[in-house]
Amino acid sequence: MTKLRFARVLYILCAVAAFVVAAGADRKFGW
Amino acid sequence: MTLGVVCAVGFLFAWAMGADLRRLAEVRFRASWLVFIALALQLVAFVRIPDIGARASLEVPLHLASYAILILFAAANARLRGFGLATLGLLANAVVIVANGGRMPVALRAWESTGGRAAELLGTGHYNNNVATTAGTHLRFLADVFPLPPGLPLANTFSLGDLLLLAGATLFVYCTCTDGRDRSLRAALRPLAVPDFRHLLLGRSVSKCGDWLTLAATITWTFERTHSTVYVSALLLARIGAAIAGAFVSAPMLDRYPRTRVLAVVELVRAGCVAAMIVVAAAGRVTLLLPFVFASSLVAAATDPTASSLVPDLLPRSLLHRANALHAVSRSVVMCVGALVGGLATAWLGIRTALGVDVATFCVAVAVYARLPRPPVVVRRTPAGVEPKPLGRRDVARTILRSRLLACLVGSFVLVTMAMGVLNASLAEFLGSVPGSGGYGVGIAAIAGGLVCGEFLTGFLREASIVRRAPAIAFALSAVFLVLTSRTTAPTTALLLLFLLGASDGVTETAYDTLVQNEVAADVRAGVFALAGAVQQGGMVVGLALAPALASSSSSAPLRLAAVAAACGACVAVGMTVRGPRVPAFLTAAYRHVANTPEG
Repeated sequence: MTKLRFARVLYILCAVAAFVVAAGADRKFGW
Repeated sequence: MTLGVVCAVGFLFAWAMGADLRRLAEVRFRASWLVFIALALQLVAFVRIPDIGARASLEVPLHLASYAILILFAAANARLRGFGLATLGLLANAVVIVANGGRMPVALRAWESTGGRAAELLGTGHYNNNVATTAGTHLRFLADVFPLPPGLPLANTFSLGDLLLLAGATLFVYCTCTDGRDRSLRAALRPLAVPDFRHLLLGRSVSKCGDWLTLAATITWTFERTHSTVYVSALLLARIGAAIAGAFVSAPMLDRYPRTRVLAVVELVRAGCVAAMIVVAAAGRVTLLLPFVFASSLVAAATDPTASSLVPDLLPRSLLHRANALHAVSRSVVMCVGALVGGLATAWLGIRTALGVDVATFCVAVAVYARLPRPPVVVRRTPAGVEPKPLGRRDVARTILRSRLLACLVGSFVLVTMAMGVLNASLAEFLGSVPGSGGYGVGIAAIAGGLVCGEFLTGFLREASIVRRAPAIAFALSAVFLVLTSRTTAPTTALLLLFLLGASDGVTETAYDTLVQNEVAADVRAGVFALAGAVQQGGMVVGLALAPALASSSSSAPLRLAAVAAACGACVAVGMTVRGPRVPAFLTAAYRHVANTPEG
């Protein structure tokens, strides 16, 4: 896997995780 | 932040189930920057940094704006396969937040159980993006109602929307990173297009419904007549003892006869047993019921192994796993319906009518099985010059021990069945210590619901290597769910965990059938199913016996032991997926792998 492809995979994973964290209304800022 | 960690675990799960994460590089999100802007808005609104944090009056507008942006992102990417579930979770959270003034309601008890201080929430009425639930809270079921057990790192409270988001994110990664062919609902139901399989399912469902009807009717009637738990226990012991004895005795015999004929004969014998029960019930003789319950269960032990080994004879191998999923779903659904109908029929119509209906179900099953094609008798192949001998119990046992896959599969299932026995016996007491959980019946219903979901979802797994891996993953998850259940004090979380436990159990049940069918030759297949089933039932009895002794220390102690047993089961199941030393030669003597066809 090229570095660019790896970066792309990482970006998509981060985007999905960020979507879940932002949309999930848990007490995420209380720590 | 807990969501981020659990989300990462979800990605790991998708990877373990065969997702090739490299394929994510081909995903093209539209306007993905919107997600990061939404997250940044929430950070600005709620993170307390001097001179950077927003004023309190801006918290709600910024929070709502972040959700509007997330909805825009979800709408722009609605075309992506598997993203719908996550969008549903987003909408569930957004709706309840908007309906409650821009913050997510959380029950004070749930807040405190995850380590939050009541003063934090009650001082200003809110804390960051949470607000305390009150009598005026709207859509309370969508609020934060699933607190993680106290004492866990990053303990937090989840909403239904959060769960959908996590499931949706995992599903999205899984769908994107696996071969998308044949993953539709239509493909999952494709085995139903085969008439012989439809007839088998129909016969099994009708017969199983009668089975549950008999159980509910005999137990209800026995208790009404005697008001004695001793009699009810004796009845249940007679059933489970007969099931073990029947499977053990029949193991070497089942593969000698055409499977469809075995199924039909068993139904006829059981119809006779139940007809005798009607006579006994009319005479009011409770004690005389036991021998007939025993006899009926004894012959019934041949049904499951025979039906499971008949499935590969009726369908092409490509449909096998999906067919097993449908077979398992039908069994679980019938279990729920049959038990309910049996209880009601006995209460309204009396035991004789209920048992009469049962006799009728067995007769219908015989008629349906008669329509199935009669596969040729499987002839055992032996090396040239060796006199053919009928299959013995030792041959069946050797078949299991000789194969690493079968030995690990059956060994792991024995351990986990023991864990389920412990759980079953201790669940009533445990749920009694969790106020508001609804007790044993609701707990079993949650497990049954999860079982059906797990069995159905596993039908979407196609690759053999993933099916082989599924039991180890599902058992490990079961151990985690059992530990969390033992520590939880919230009824909602306890029932959610029991549902998830049922789902992971459902995955393993279906994978079990597929793995045995693929591994074992036709001339010993039903025998392996029967003998392995008998050993597993033995594990269940051990679990049931252990539970009372453990429960005397604390109500959650049996669940912790069940978790340990499930974790051991996962470790044993890992043996199916890794290479290692072969089984000793003395165990493999006199066994020869025969092609997996009806003809042997």
